[in-house]
Amino acid sequence: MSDQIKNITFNVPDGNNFLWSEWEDASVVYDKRSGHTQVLNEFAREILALFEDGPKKFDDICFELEEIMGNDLDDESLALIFQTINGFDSMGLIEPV
Amino acid sequence: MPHTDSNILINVLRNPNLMTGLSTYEWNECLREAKIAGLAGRLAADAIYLDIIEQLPLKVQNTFQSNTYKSQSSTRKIKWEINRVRRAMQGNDEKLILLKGGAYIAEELKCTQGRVSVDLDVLVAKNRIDFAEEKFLAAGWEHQVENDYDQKYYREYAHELPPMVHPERYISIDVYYTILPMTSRVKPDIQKMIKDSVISLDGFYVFSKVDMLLHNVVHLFQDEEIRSSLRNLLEQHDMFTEFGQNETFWQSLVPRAVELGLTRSLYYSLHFTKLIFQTDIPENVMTEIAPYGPGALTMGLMNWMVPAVISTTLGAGGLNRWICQNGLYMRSH
Amino acid sequence: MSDEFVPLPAKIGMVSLEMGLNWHVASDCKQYLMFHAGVVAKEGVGLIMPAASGSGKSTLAAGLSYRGWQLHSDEFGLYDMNSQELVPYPRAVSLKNESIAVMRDWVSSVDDKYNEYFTEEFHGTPKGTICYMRPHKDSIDKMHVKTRPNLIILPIFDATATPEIRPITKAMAFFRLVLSSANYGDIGKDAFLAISRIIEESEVCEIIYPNLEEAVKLVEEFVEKTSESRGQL
Repeated sequence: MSDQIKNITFNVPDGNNFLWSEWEDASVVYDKRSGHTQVLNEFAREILALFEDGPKKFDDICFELEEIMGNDLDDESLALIFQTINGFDSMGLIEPV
Repeated sequence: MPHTDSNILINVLRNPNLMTGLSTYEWNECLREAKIAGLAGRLAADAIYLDIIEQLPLKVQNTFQSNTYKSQSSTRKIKWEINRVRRAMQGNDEKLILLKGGAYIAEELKCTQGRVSVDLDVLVAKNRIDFAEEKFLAAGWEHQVENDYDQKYYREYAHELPPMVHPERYISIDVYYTILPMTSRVKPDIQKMIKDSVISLDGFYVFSKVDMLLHNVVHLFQDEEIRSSLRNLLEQHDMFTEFGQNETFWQSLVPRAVELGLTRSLYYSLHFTKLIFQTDIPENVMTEIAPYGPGALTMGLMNWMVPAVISTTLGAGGLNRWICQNGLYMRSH
Repeated sequence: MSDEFVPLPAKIGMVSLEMGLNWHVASDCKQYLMFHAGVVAKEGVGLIMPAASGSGKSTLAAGLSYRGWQLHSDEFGLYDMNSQELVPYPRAVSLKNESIAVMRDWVSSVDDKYNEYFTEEFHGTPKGTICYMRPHKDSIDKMHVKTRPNLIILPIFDATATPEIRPITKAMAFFRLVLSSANYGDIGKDAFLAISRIIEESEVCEIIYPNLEEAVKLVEEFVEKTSESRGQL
């Protein structure tokens, strides 16, 4: 999986498949379709929330995060976003539209 | 057939309402046999469907709950594996056909209620099998057999790729290019079955209803696991009952079996589902298949052996059972 | 069906029996959410101690059971998702290697007849030397008394450690419970909801201890420390 991930529009399929347990330092999500449980930090939780709002590409996510944070993203953040999207894809939390 | 009429598991499968009246002794018999036959989950599903769970002894309720979790988990894992295969194949319009358990789950057939599937079987066109393998490996699946000898065996003599498994999900995937080993006596024309397959879950294909039934029937008394024959027959009973709602199913059944050279297997299936589960099969279908039955001697033997094999538990043992198991086993080669 | 079983010599047949029991519970009691954990209870406290083998959780659970706690299990925590309670399973405690002498010593200090509670030692099993210990009479008498879980302690044995109670986050406790569960993945949604509820209702910590005596003190200390917050639930 390389940079081609950046050109794929992903969404959270079918809706309503996630169950959440929210704790002070992390969110735990159970996906009814896969039966898998994942722990997300606040950053990852925010990115998944953006996908839950509607289909998006890598650039859309970056744009929205810049809006939320009020400044430009540095290279480290961009790499982290890329990694997170890649991770969500392999966990099946998001799927290509 | 006195063999089957006295078998408590078969009686309960025929009429699940009997469950509300079983004694502790009968439950012990019934659950033990169900467990050996891989049908405990099926009894649980029947009890849930009939809404009689709460009338059953608490220990039975616990056992059924346990088995319900098992089958639900298996169904969820298979469905998810189907989803992951689709993701792996994204961007290619490869025609992938789900076989057996995977197909039954995709089509939500009655026979999947309480059923446990442990692997996923997929069929691709023979000339696309290397491409499919490449895609699986790129998406993280790994070969389960590593040594060259076994790899060679699968590729040259079996009718499938060496089984692959994804290290995070543990469902074994078998990719076939035909439905029976190259060495098999019967050789149904797989191209015809592929051509008639229909679209199903997640962009996957499944065999048409008649072919799906015939594919199940092909394995009847062929696999070495004779013990799973009761489960096989029950699946066929379910399919006859479910698909048979549609008149065209019955009309095309025997002609298709003739076309694919699977008449003998279909004959046994119709004969034994009717005998054991009292399946509602139209008289004209029985007449139509009759000429394809075996000679009187073989049929006599089969009538003696089959019910004995499928209605005798492991624990009951004895010479009679040994002869039945081994007689059938040898026959099936 | 039983391919996993390795034949053992007749003289260590007891070990086969234990393995068979474990196998059956693990494969046929999926109606319970199962934790690989020591579980004990006392006066409304339901304590789960999830841990890997070698953490000393078996010895700790057995040790607590001879100091006033009800033994649910030294390694099979069973949770009934309908009643939301821990289900006792006080079968003989399987003691391994060094823990055999530790428990003999531990039990002998409170009961003169301690020798009657231990079987002979079985040498050369796949897990080394094994000895079975009868649970305390009170635990057997109460084998039908269930308890709601409200305390999670992750035990860490370290012979050189200074005894200490360390805070952990609830998300961490959540994941340790998930990882310790043999059938979380099979049960799915109900298991997720159950563990969420258990963590919600529990006080959680990690203890590091050099010996059984210190471990029991730390457990009692944490129980005492959290008595008020547990009272509020």
